Amino acid sequence: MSNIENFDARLELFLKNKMTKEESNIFLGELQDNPDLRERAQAMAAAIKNMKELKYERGQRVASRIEQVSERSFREAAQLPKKTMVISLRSIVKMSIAACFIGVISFGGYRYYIYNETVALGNSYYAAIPTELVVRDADDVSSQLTLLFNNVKDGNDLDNTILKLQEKFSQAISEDYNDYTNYINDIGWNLAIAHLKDGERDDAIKTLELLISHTESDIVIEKCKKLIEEIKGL
Amino acid sequence: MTKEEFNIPDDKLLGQFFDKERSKILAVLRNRLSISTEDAEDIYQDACIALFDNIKNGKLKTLTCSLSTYFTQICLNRGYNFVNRGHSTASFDQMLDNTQYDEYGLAQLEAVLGLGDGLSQEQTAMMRDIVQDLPYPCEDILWAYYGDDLSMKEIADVIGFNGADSVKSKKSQCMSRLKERFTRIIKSFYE
Repeated sequence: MSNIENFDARLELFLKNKMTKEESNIFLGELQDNPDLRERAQAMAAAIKNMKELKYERGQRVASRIEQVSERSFREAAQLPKKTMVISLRSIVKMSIAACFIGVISFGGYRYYIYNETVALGNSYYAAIPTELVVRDADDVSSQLTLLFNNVKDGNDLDNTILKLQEKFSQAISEDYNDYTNYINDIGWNLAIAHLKDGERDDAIKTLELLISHTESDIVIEKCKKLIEEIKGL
Repeated sequence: MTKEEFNIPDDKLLGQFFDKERSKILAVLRNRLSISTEDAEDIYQDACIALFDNIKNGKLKTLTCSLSTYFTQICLNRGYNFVNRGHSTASFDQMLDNTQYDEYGLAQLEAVLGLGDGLSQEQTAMMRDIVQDLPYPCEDILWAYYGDDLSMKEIADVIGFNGADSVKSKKSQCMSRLKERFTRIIKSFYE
Protein backbone atom coordinates (compact mmCIF):
# COMPACT_ATOMS: atom_id res chain seq x y z
CA MET A 1 0.00 0.00 0.00
CA SER A 2 1.44 3.39 -0.97
CA ASN A 3 1.77 6.18 1.58
CA ILE A 4 -1.09 8.08 0.03
CA GLU A 5 -3.33 4.99 -0.04
CA ASN A 6 -2.41 4.36 3.58
CA PHE A 7 -3.34 7.94 4.42
CA ASP A 8 -6.69 7.64 2.62
CA ALA A 9 -7.41 4.45 4.58
CA ARG A 10 -6.63 6.15 7.90
CA LEU A 11 -8.73 9.16 6.93
CA GLU A 12 -11.67 6.88 6.26
CA LEU A 13 -11.25 5.21 9.65
CA PHE A 14 -11.36 8.65 11.23
CA LEU A 15 -14.36 9.83 9.21
CA LYS A 16 -16.27 6.66 10.03
CA ASN A 17 -15.50 7.20 13.72
CA LYS A 18 -13.58 3.96 13.94
CA MET A 19 -10.54 5.39 15.67
CA THR A 20 -10.11 5.63 19.43
CA LYS A 21 -10.12 9.13 20.89
CA GLU A 22 -6.36 9.00 21.24
CA GLU A 23 -5.86 7.85 17.64
CA SER A 24 -8.24 10.56 16.44
CA ASN A 25 -6.32 13.29 18.27
CA ILE A 26 -3.00 12.10 16.86
CA PHE A 27 -4.46 11.97 13.36
CA LEU A 28 -5.97 15.46 13.58
CA GLY A 29 -2.62 16.72 14.88
CA GLU A 30 -0.92 15.29 11.79
CA LEU A 31 -3.38 17.09 9.56
CA GLN A 32 -2.79 20.38 11.37
CA ASP A 33 0.94 20.05 10.87
CA ASN A 34 0.88 18.97 7.23
CA PRO A 35 -0.93 21.37 4.85
CA ASP A 36 -0.72 18.96 1.92
CA LEU A 37 -2.34 16.11 3.80
CA ARG A 38 -4.85 18.53 5.30
CA GLU A 39 -5.89 19.75 1.84
CA ARG A 40 -6.31 16.17 0.68
CA ALA A 41 -8.36 15.32 3.76
CA GLN A 42 -10.52 18.42 3.35
CA ALA A 43 -11.08 17.70 -0.32
CA MET A 44 -12.17 14.18 0.55
CA ALA A 45 -14.37 15.34 3.44
CA ALA A 46 -16.00 18.00 1.26
CA ALA A 47 -16.53 15.47 -1.52
CA ILE A 48 -18.09 12.90 0.82
CA LYS A 49 -20.28 15.51 2.50
CA ASN A 50 -21.59 16.75 -0.83
CA MET A 51 -22.07 13.26 -2.23
CA LYS A 52 -24.06 12.26 0.83
CA GLU A 53 -26.18 15.39 0.62
CA LEU A 54 -26.81 14.94 -3.08
CA LYS A 55 -27.71 11.29 -2.60
CA TYR A 56 -30.01 12.14 0.28
CA GLU A 57 -31.79 14.83 -1.75
CA ARG A 58 -32.13 12.47 -4.69
CA GLY A 59 -33.46 9.75 -2.39
CA GLN A 60 -36.09 12.14 -1.06
CA ARG A 61 -37.11 12.91 -4.62
CA VAL A 62 -37.31 9.20 -5.49
CA ALA A 63 -39.36 8.45 -2.36
CA SER A 64 -41.78 11.29 -3.20
CA ARG A 65 -42.10 9.95 -6.70
CA ILE A 66 -42.82 6.43 -5.42
CA GLU A 67 -45.52 7.88 -3.19
CA GLN A 68 -47.23 9.32 -6.26
CA VAL A 69 -47.16 6.34 -8.63
CA SER A 70 -49.31 3.23 -8.83
CA GLU A 71 -47.83 -0.19 -8.20
CA ARG A 72 -48.16 -0.92 -11.89
CA SER A 73 -46.11 2.15 -12.86
CA PHE A 74 -43.63 1.37 -10.11
CA ARG A 75 -43.12 -2.16 -11.39
CA GLU A 76 -42.63 -0.86 -14.92
CA ALA A 77 -40.07 1.71 -13.80
CA ALA A 78 -38.19 -0.79 -11.63
CA GLN A 79 -38.46 -3.40 -14.38
CA LEU A 80 -40.15 -5.90 -12.09
CA PRO A 81 -42.42 -8.67 -13.39
CA LYS A 82 -46.01 -7.55 -13.79
CA LYS A 83 -48.20 -8.31 -10.86
CA THR A 84 -51.16 -10.53 -11.54
CA MET A 85 -54.27 -8.53 -10.84
CA VAL A 86 -56.37 -10.78 -8.68
CA ILE A 87 -60.07 -10.42 -8.24
CA SER A 88 -62.01 -12.66 -5.92
CA LEU A 89 -65.09 -13.83 -7.78
CA ARG A 90 -67.16 -15.23 -5.00
CA SER A 91 -70.31 -14.87 -6.97
CA ILE A 92 -68.86 -16.76 -9.91
CA VAL A 93 -67.62 -19.49 -7.62
CA LYS A 94 -71.08 -19.75 -6.06
CA MET A 95 -72.63 -20.01 -9.50
CA SER A 96 -70.06 -22.59 -10.43
CA ILE A 97 -70.90 -24.65 -7.38
CA ALA A 98 -74.54 -24.56 -8.42
CA ALA A 99 -73.57 -25.50 -11.96
CA CYS A 100 -71.44 -28.27 -10.56
CA PHE A 101 -74.40 -29.81 -8.71
CA ILE A 102 -76.42 -29.70 -11.88
CA GLY A 103 -73.52 -31.34 -13.69
CA VAL A 104 -73.13 -34.05 -11.08
CA ILE A 105 -76.84 -34.81 -11.14
CA SER A 106 -76.80 -34.91 -14.93
CA PHE A 107 -73.90 -37.30 -14.95
CA GLY A 108 -75.35 -39.36 -12.12
CA GLY A 109 -77.63 -41.05 -14.58
CA TYR A 110 -74.77 -42.37 -16.66
CA ARG A 111 -73.35 -45.78 -16.03
CA TYR A 112 -70.38 -46.02 -18.26
CA TYR A 113 -67.25 -47.96 -17.64
CA ILE A 114 -65.09 -46.61 -14.84
CA TYR A 115 -62.74 -44.98 -17.29
CA ASN A 116 -65.52 -43.16 -19.01
CA GLU A 117 -67.01 -42.18 -15.70
CA THR A 118 -63.66 -40.79 -14.57
CA VAL A 119 -63.35 -38.78 -17.73
CA ALA A 120 -66.90 -37.61 -17.40
CA LEU A 121 -66.26 -36.57 -13.82
CA GLY A 122 -63.34 -34.53 -15.03
CA ASN A 123 -65.55 -32.88 -17.64
CA SER A 124 -68.29 -32.15 -15.17
CA TYR A 125 -65.98 -30.73 -12.56
CA TYR A 126 -63.90 -28.69 -14.94
CA ALA A 127 -66.08 -25.66 -14.33
CA ALA A 128 -66.57 -26.26 -10.61
CA ILE A 129 -63.81 -23.79 -9.89
CA PRO A 130 -63.43 -22.25 -13.32
CA THR A 131 -60.89 -19.92 -11.96
CA GLU A 132 -60.81 -18.39 -8.56
CA LEU A 133 -58.42 -15.85 -9.92
CA VAL A 134 -58.97 -13.74 -12.96
CA VAL A 135 -55.92 -12.55 -14.80
CA ARG A 136 -56.23 -9.09 -16.24
CA ASP A 137 -52.70 -8.41 -17.34
CA ALA A 138 -51.63 -11.14 -19.66
CA ASP A 139 -47.96 -11.75 -18.93
CA ASP A 140 -45.84 -14.73 -19.92
CA VAL A 141 -46.89 -16.82 -16.95
CA SER A 142 -50.61 -16.23 -17.29
CA SER A 143 -50.44 -16.74 -21.07
CA GLN A 144 -48.72 -20.09 -20.61
CA LEU A 145 -51.23 -21.16 -18.00
CA THR A 146 -54.17 -20.07 -20.13
CA LEU A 147 -52.94 -22.33 -22.94
CA LEU A 148 -52.55 -25.27 -20.57
CA PHE A 149 -55.94 -24.69 -18.96
CA ASN A 150 -57.55 -24.55 -22.41
CA ASN A 151 -55.92 -27.88 -23.21
CA VAL A 152 -57.44 -29.32 -20.04
CA LYS A 153 -60.81 -27.84 -20.90
CA ASP A 154 -60.77 -29.25 -24.43
CA GLY A 155 -58.97 -32.47 -23.49
CA ASN A 156 -56.15 -31.70 -25.94
CA ASP A 157 -52.56 -32.94 -25.65
CA LEU A 158 -53.21 -34.21 -22.13
CA ASP A 159 -49.91 -36.05 -21.63
CA ASN A 160 -47.78 -32.99 -22.28
CA THR A 161 -50.20 -30.70 -20.51
CA ILE A 162 -50.11 -32.88 -17.38
CA LEU A 163 -46.32 -32.91 -17.39
CA LYS A 164 -46.16 -29.15 -17.63
CA LEU A 165 -48.86 -28.60 -15.02
CA GLN A 166 -47.11 -31.00 -12.63
CA GLU A 167 -43.94 -28.97 -12.94
CA LYS A 168 -45.77 -25.70 -12.32
CA PHE A 169 -47.83 -27.15 -9.46
CA SER A 170 -44.68 -28.29 -7.65
CA GLN A 171 -43.40 -24.71 -7.95
CA ALA A 172 -46.73 -23.24 -6.85
CA ILE A 173 -46.76 -25.29 -3.63
CA SER A 174 -43.11 -24.66 -2.82
CA GLU A 175 -42.30 -22.43 0.16
CA ASP A 176 -40.56 -19.85 -1.98
CA TYR A 177 -42.79 -17.21 -3.45
CA ASN A 178 -42.60 -17.45 -7.22
CA ASP A 179 -44.50 -16.68 -10.43
CA TYR A 180 -46.92 -19.56 -9.82
CA THR A 181 -47.70 -19.02 -6.15
CA ASN A 182 -50.77 -16.90 -6.86
CA TYR A 183 -52.10 -19.52 -9.26
CA ILE A 184 -51.88 -22.48 -6.91
CA ASN A 185 -55.65 -23.13 -6.92
CA ASP A 186 -56.00 -22.88 -10.68
CA ILE A 187 -52.98 -25.03 -11.43
CA GLY A 188 -53.82 -27.69 -8.82
CA TRP A 189 -57.44 -27.89 -9.86
CA ASN A 190 -56.69 -28.05 -13.58
CA LEU A 191 -54.04 -30.71 -12.99
CA ALA A 192 -56.52 -32.83 -11.04
CA ILE A 193 -59.11 -32.43 -13.78
CA ALA A 194 -56.49 -33.29 -16.42
CA HIS A 195 -55.71 -36.51 -14.55
CA LEU A 196 -59.40 -37.32 -14.46
CA LYS A 197 -59.79 -36.64 -18.15
CA ASP A 198 -56.81 -38.90 -18.67
CA GLY A 199 -58.55 -41.62 -16.65
CA GLU A 200 -56.00 -41.49 -13.80
CA ARG A 201 -58.09 -41.43 -10.65
CA ASP A 202 -55.28 -42.05 -8.15
CA ASP A 203 -53.18 -39.23 -9.57
CA ALA A 204 -56.18 -36.91 -9.44
CA ILE A 205 -56.76 -37.75 -5.76
CA LYS A 206 -53.09 -37.22 -4.90
CA THR A 207 -53.16 -33.82 -6.62
CA LEU A 208 -56.33 -32.78 -4.83
CA GLU A 209 -54.90 -33.86 -1.47
CA LEU A 210 -51.80 -31.80 -2.15
CA LEU A 211 -53.94 -28.83 -3.08
CA ILE A 212 -55.96 -29.22 0.13
CA SER A 213 -52.78 -29.17 2.20
CA HIS A 214 -51.42 -26.03 0.52
CA THR A 215 -54.36 -23.83 -0.42
CA GLU A 216 -55.65 -21.11 1.84
CA SER A 217 -59.12 -21.10 0.30
CA ASP A 218 -61.87 -22.84 2.25
CA ILE A 219 -64.02 -22.99 -0.87
CA VAL A 220 -61.30 -24.81 -2.77
CA ILE A 221 -60.73 -27.24 0.11
CA GLU A 222 -64.44 -27.99 0.22
CA LYS A 223 -64.59 -28.58 -3.53
CA CYS A 224 -61.50 -30.78 -3.49
CA LYS A 225 -62.90 -32.95 -0.70
CA LYS A 226 -66.18 -33.31 -2.54
CA LEU A 227 -64.44 -34.30 -5.76
CA ILE A 228 -62.25 -36.83 -3.91
CA GLU A 229 -65.41 -38.42 -2.50
CA GLU A 230 -66.90 -38.54 -5.98
CA ILE A 231 -63.78 -40.15 -7.40
CA LYS A 232 -63.63 -42.73 -4.63
CA GLY A 233 -67.31 -43.45 -5.16
CA LEU A 234 -66.77 -44.48 -8.78
CA MET B 1 -23.24 10.83 -11.14
CA THR B 2 -23.47 13.73 -13.51
CA LYS B 3 -25.54 16.88 -13.25
CA GLU B 4 -27.74 15.55 -16.03
CA GLU B 5 -28.45 12.44 -13.99
CA PHE B 6 -29.38 14.55 -10.98
CA ASN B 7 -31.63 16.76 -13.06
CA ILE B 8 -33.44 13.87 -14.71
CA PRO B 9 -37.20 14.48 -15.17
CA ASP B 10 -39.62 12.86 -12.74
CA ASP B 11 -40.98 10.32 -15.20
CA LYS B 12 -37.52 8.85 -15.71
CA LEU B 13 -36.33 9.18 -12.14
CA LEU B 14 -37.46 5.79 -10.85
CA GLY B 15 -36.15 3.92 -13.88
CA GLN B 16 -32.74 5.52 -13.46
CA PHE B 17 -32.68 4.94 -9.70
CA PHE B 18 -33.57 1.26 -9.86
CA ASP B 19 -31.33 0.63 -12.83
CA LYS B 20 -28.35 1.75 -10.78
CA GLU B 21 -29.57 0.05 -7.62
CA ARG B 22 -30.06 -3.28 -9.35
CA SER B 23 -26.49 -3.65 -10.58
CA LYS B 24 -25.20 -2.51 -7.19
CA ILE B 25 -27.40 -4.85 -5.18
CA LEU B 26 -26.59 -7.88 -7.32
CA ALA B 27 -22.88 -7.20 -6.84
CA VAL B 28 -23.28 -6.71 -3.09
CA LEU B 29 -25.31 -9.89 -2.56
CA ARG B 30 -22.96 -11.93 -4.73
CA ASN B 31 -19.80 -10.63 -3.08
CA ARG B 32 -20.81 -10.29 0.54
CA LEU B 33 -23.18 -13.23 0.91
CA SER B 34 -22.16 -15.52 -1.97
CA ILE B 35 -25.73 -15.57 -3.26
CA SER B 36 -26.24 -16.67 -6.86
CA THR B 37 -27.27 -14.04 -9.40
CA GLU B 38 -30.67 -15.70 -9.83
CA ASP B 39 -31.43 -15.70 -6.08
CA ALA B 40 -30.01 -12.18 -5.74
CA GLU B 41 -32.41 -11.06 -8.45
CA ASP B 42 -35.35 -12.53 -6.49
CA ILE B 43 -34.19 -10.83 -3.31
CA TYR B 44 -33.79 -7.53 -5.16
CA GLN B 45 -37.30 -7.75 -6.60
CA ASP B 46 -38.85 -8.60 -3.23
CA ALA B 47 -36.97 -5.70 -1.65
CA CYS B 48 -38.27 -3.32 -4.33
CA ILE B 49 -41.83 -4.27 -3.42
CA ALA B 50 -41.04 -3.99 0.30
CA LEU B 51 -39.69 -0.49 -0.31
CA PHE B 52 -42.76 0.44 -2.32
CA ASP B 53 -45.08 -0.90 0.41
CA ASN B 54 -43.16 0.86 3.18
CA ILE B 55 -43.41 4.19 1.42
CA LYS B 56 -47.06 3.74 0.46
CA ASN B 57 -48.04 2.53 3.92
CA GLY B 58 -46.28 5.43 5.60
CA LYS B 59 -43.77 3.17 7.37
CA LEU B 60 -40.91 5.15 5.90
CA LYS B 61 -41.74 8.65 7.04
CA THR B 62 -38.30 10.06 7.70
CA LEU B 63 -35.08 9.04 6.04
CA THR B 64 -32.11 9.01 8.40
CA CYS B 65 -29.79 8.07 5.54
CA SER B 66 -30.06 8.12 1.76
CA LEU B 67 -32.83 6.04 0.20
CA SER B 68 -30.16 4.06 -1.61
CA THR B 69 -28.46 3.13 1.68
CA TYR B 70 -31.80 2.23 3.22
CA PHE B 71 -32.69 0.07 0.22
CA THR B 72 -29.30 -1.65 0.30
CA GLN B 73 -29.87 -2.53 3.94
CA ILE B 74 -33.26 -4.02 3.12
CA CYS B 75 -31.63 -6.18 0.45
CA LEU B 76 -28.78 -7.19 2.77
CA ASN B 77 -31.16 -8.13 5.56
CA ARG B 78 -33.24 -10.16 3.16
CA GLY B 79 -30.02 -11.71 1.90
CA TYR B 80 -28.92 -12.66 5.43
CA ASN B 81 -32.31 -14.18 6.03
CA PHE B 82 -32.07 -16.12 2.77
CA VAL B 83 -28.63 -17.47 3.70
CA ASN B 84 -29.78 -18.42 7.18
CA ARG B 85 -33.15 -19.73 6.11
CA GLY B 86 -34.54 -22.06 8.68
CA HIS B 87 -32.38 -20.57 11.41
CA SER B 88 -33.79 -17.07 11.49
CA THR B 89 -37.01 -16.32 13.30
CA ALA B 90 -36.91 -12.59 12.73
CA SER B 91 -39.80 -11.07 10.83
CA PHE B 92 -39.13 -8.68 8.00
CA ASP B 93 -40.27 -5.76 10.16
CA GLN B 94 -37.87 -6.84 12.91
CA MET B 95 -35.08 -7.03 10.37
CA LEU B 96 -35.85 -3.50 9.24
CA ASP B 97 -35.64 -2.36 12.85
CA ASN B 98 -32.22 -3.99 13.11
CA THR B 99 -30.92 -2.03 10.15
CA GLN B 100 -27.48 -0.64 10.85
CA TYR B 101 -25.81 2.05 8.82
CA ASP B 102 -22.04 2.41 8.57
CA GLU B 103 -22.07 6.03 7.58
CA TYR B 104 -19.44 8.72 7.65
CA GLY B 105 -19.91 10.77 10.82
CA LEU B 106 -21.02 14.34 10.31
CA ALA B 107 -19.00 15.46 13.35
CA GLN B 108 -15.85 13.87 11.88
CA LEU B 109 -16.45 15.48 8.49
CA GLU B 110 -16.94 18.88 10.11
CA ALA B 111 -13.82 18.40 12.25
CA VAL B 112 -11.70 17.89 9.14
CA LEU B 113 -13.35 20.71 7.23
CA GLY B 114 -12.68 23.04 10.17
CA LEU B 115 -8.93 22.39 10.30
CA GLY B 116 -6.43 25.14 9.47
CA ASP B 117 -8.29 28.27 8.48
CA GLY B 118 -11.34 26.13 8.03
CA LEU B 119 -13.46 25.88 4.91
CA SER B 120 -16.47 28.12 4.60
CA GLN B 121 -19.83 26.66 3.68
CA GLU B 122 -19.47 28.36 0.32
CA GLN B 123 -16.12 26.71 -0.30
CA THR B 124 -17.43 23.33 0.76
CA ALA B 125 -20.41 23.77 -1.51
CA MET B 126 -18.05 24.27 -4.46
CA MET B 127 -17.31 20.59 -4.19
CA ARG B 128 -20.94 19.98 -5.08
CA ASP B 129 -20.24 21.03 -8.65
CA ILE B 130 -17.01 19.06 -8.76
CA VAL B 131 -18.51 15.75 -7.63
CA GLN B 132 -21.28 16.14 -10.19
CA ASP B 133 -18.79 16.68 -12.94
CA LEU B 134 -16.19 13.96 -12.44
CA PRO B 135 -14.55 12.38 -15.49
CA TYR B 136 -14.96 8.66 -16.24
CA PRO B 137 -14.09 6.35 -14.50
CA CYS B 138 -13.58 8.56 -11.41
CA GLU B 139 -17.27 9.38 -11.44
CA ASP B 140 -18.26 5.71 -11.13
CA ILE B 141 -15.51 4.78 -8.69
CA LEU B 142 -15.81 7.68 -6.25
CA TRP B 143 -19.60 7.68 -6.18
CA ALA B 144 -19.68 3.91 -5.67
CA TYR B 145 -17.02 4.03 -2.96
CA TYR B 146 -18.01 7.13 -1.02
CA GLY B 147 -21.63 7.45 -2.08
CA ASP B 148 -22.67 3.79 -1.93
CA ASP B 149 -20.01 2.41 0.44
CA LEU B 150 -19.15 -0.41 -1.95
CA SER B 151 -15.93 -2.37 -1.54
CA MET B 152 -13.23 -2.26 -4.21
CA LYS B 153 -14.17 -5.77 -5.35
CA GLU B 154 -17.83 -4.83 -5.64
CA ILE B 155 -16.97 -1.71 -7.62
CA ALA B 156 -14.80 -3.82 -9.93
CA ASP B 157 -17.79 -6.13 -10.39
CA VAL B 158 -20.24 -3.30 -11.08
CA ILE B 159 -18.13 -1.22 -13.48
CA GLY B 160 -16.27 -4.11 -15.08
CA PHE B 161 -12.76 -3.43 -13.80
CA ASN B 162 -10.19 -6.18 -13.63
CA GLY B 163 -10.08 -6.77 -9.87
CA ALA B 164 -10.07 -4.78 -6.65
CA ASP B 165 -6.45 -3.66 -6.93
CA SER B 166 -7.09 -1.89 -10.24
CA VAL B 167 -10.00 -0.01 -8.69
CA LYS B 168 -7.98 0.86 -5.60
CA SER B 169 -5.14 2.29 -7.62
CA LYS B 170 -7.51 4.23 -9.86
CA LYS B 171 -9.47 5.54 -6.90
CA SER B 172 -6.32 6.94 -5.35
CA GLN B 173 -5.49 8.72 -8.63
CA CYS B 174 -9.04 10.06 -8.82
CA MET B 175 -8.80 11.44 -5.29
CA SER B 176 -5.52 13.15 -6.15
CA ARG B 177 -7.11 14.80 -9.18
CA LEU B 178 -10.17 15.79 -7.20
CA LYS B 179 -7.96 17.31 -4.54
CA GLU B 180 -5.96 19.26 -7.14
CA ARG B 181 -9.13 20.61 -8.70
CA PHE B 182 -10.57 21.49 -5.35
CA THR B 183 -7.35 23.24 -4.27
CA ARG B 184 -7.30 25.27 -7.49
CA ILE B 185 -10.85 26.40 -6.90
CA ILE B 186 -10.19 27.24 -3.27
CA LYS B 187 -7.12 29.27 -4.24
CA SER B 188 -9.01 31.11 -6.96
CA PHE B 189 -11.57 31.94 -4.28
CA TYR B 190 -8.97 34.16 -2.56
CA GLU B 191 -7.65 35.80 -5.75
